[in-house]
Amino acid sequence: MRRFAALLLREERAIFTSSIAYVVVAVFLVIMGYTFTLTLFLSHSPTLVHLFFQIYVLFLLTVPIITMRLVAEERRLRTLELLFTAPVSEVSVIFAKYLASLSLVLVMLALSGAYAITLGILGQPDWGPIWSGYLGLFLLGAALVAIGLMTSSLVSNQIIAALLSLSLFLLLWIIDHFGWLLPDPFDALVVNLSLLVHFTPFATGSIFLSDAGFFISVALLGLFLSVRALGRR
Amino acid sequence: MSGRSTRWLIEIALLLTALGLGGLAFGPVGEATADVLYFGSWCAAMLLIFSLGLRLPLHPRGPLARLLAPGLIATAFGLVLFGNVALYRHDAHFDATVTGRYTPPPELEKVARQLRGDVVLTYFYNSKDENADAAKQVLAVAARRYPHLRVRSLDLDTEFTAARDYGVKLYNTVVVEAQGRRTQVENTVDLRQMAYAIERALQQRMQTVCFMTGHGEHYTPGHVHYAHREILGGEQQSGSGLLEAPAEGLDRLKLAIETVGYSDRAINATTLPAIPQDCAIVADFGAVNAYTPADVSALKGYLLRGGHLLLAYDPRFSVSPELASLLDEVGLRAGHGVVVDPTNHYGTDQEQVAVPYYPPHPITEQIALTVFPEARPIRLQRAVGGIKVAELIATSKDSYVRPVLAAAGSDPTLPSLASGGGVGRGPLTPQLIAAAVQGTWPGGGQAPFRLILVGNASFASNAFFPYASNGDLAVSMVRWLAADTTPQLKPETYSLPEIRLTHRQMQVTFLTVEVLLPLSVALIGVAVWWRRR
Repeated sequence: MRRFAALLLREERAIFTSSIAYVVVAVFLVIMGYTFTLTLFLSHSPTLVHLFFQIYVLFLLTVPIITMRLVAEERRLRTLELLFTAPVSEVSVIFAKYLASLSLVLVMLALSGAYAITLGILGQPDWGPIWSGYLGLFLLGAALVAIGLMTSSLVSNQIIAALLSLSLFLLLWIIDHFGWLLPDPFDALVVNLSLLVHFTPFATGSIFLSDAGFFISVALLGLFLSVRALGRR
Repeated sequence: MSGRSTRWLIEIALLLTALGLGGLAFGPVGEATADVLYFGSWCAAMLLIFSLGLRLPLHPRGPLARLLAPGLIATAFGLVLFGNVALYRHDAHFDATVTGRYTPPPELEKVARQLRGDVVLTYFYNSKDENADAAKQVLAVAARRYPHLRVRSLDLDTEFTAARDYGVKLYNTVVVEAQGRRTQVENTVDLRQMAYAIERALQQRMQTVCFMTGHGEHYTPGHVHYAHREILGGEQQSGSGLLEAPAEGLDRLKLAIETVGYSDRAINATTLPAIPQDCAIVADFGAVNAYTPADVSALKGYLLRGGHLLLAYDPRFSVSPELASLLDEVGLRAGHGVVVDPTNHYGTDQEQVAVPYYPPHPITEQIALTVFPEARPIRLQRAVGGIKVAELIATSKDSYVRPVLAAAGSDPTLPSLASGGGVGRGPLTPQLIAAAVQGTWPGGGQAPFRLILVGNASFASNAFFPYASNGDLAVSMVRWLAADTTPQLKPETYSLPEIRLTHRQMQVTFLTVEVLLPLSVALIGVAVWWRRR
């Protein structure tokens, strides 16, 4: 456990001392702040639903940037071999990288909580959909980071890793549009691969446990495949 | 304790949790609780499988080593797929909104839960109608919870082909297909109406309101023709229906009772030996000509069998001696004249009596103001054993009754309209204009009957049905007669209070979330970079 804590600390340092994290978070907050103020000033409605969908899109775009270098960069610089001279397992390395990246996602979500607080100060929002929206974003972030980590583990070029992640995310975003063209039961199968289909209920305050299960299982699958990919070094 | 032992303990704990919660889920608990327990069991099982998967060797050796990696990946995908399908089949739903926006109404829940075969519901919604959008979302929730309810929501503005195939031309039309049958409800955002459409398609709901005809009533059987109305930007519109029907007709009433799940048809008591068995309720609105003895005999026979009768008569309806005798048996009399209320009336017409308050009764407990144009008084004659009579609607204490004026060429016994007729007026006193009676018919009733006598039929006509709560009152009367106790819910139109900001508040909000927040993160980043440099 102590070795894992040291690994985690190393990864957290790597993320929070890199300029990428601050650039990503600052850009995220500028875009979100603009959306929030515009929606609030024009619609006057105390809701964050529009914001949640915008964060959803931004996660699809920013998570590849966060995760692209996690393993690919180490593989390119050949620091992985150095790392594995220490008594650490592939599982620990992947878990540490995963939790460190997820913590950055959590920081972004925590900072976006300023919008919810603002709504609470200025009006009387319905807190149920706000909590469920944040829960959905956390689960979405957990799944996306796992997929991003997996693609980073597969290749040694971080740009390719980012593009691979982005392609996968975009495919999983729009796949439901193809699903409607397929015959039963393949339509339901493909539609249910869509990230948006599972995220929308959370964002609007309608929680299905199967949606939570989908994100959890995708995160576990991504982590499992990451470990297997790292193991073939 | 070593890390390896801890991991084993965690895996054993996960196994026990999965088995324990799974066992509880199949125990004697409610469906919702079972689904939550199932989810807990599912999570524990997935974590256990994940943990066991991580124990597999990363560098396998042997002849099958090349096949192991793709096999493992395929197995992992298969397990995730299987796990999600299993969870989907035992899904639980929570509505996190304070208004219960995503909770289907009890009527729809009940119908969807009882489905044993597939029912396809296609909703051609208006994407610019907020209420239609809300209905669409609740339908999606219901479809996920009840797999036999297969919902397709199509935007009528873009899905021309599907609309043409179904013959749909109006916004917010629901087409329900089940067991080779099809029902269609036009211009609706009411989920209860959709539930009843499913019941009708499955032929599960057979409560019929029989409207009497043959005495000059304006009941028209068949489909009501109505069109949608364009909605302006800020206008709150829940139904957006516009009837194209005669003012004295009953089309709006027909539509309203169909909305709450009744069917209707016409009967002519004169030509029938008895009131048909399938008539859950018999209603007569706006008869003009007097009943024949055969009519009254059929009605009495119906009440003796425990029938449910709604009689609404305008002042010009001539009450035959047989009908007067029938009403007298339960202590009622349909009085003569027109009620005038100088205190409570609609607009400037004192004969359009307005009633804001009612004596306590299930029919009127949720009814606001109602309007009765030209009502006749109802008299309570006497108490009759075994029968409970309730005053439903009465006018103010300043009311009086004037005689009915005869139009030229009509009943010569009535005071003439042209001459002024020497119209007198009765004493100032509250005038009863509706009463409800229930009990067993005196002298040989076989089952408890219910009867409502209203001294006005026009309140439920197309012209006056939308006035204040007239429509609600008419529907409530029908529901009381049918002993329909399901809660009558209005479509939710609740919305959160808006946030109106002052210029100063807008400035502070913008500066805080759009400038200070990102800037502080950027400054921290610069500081970190400076230190590392």
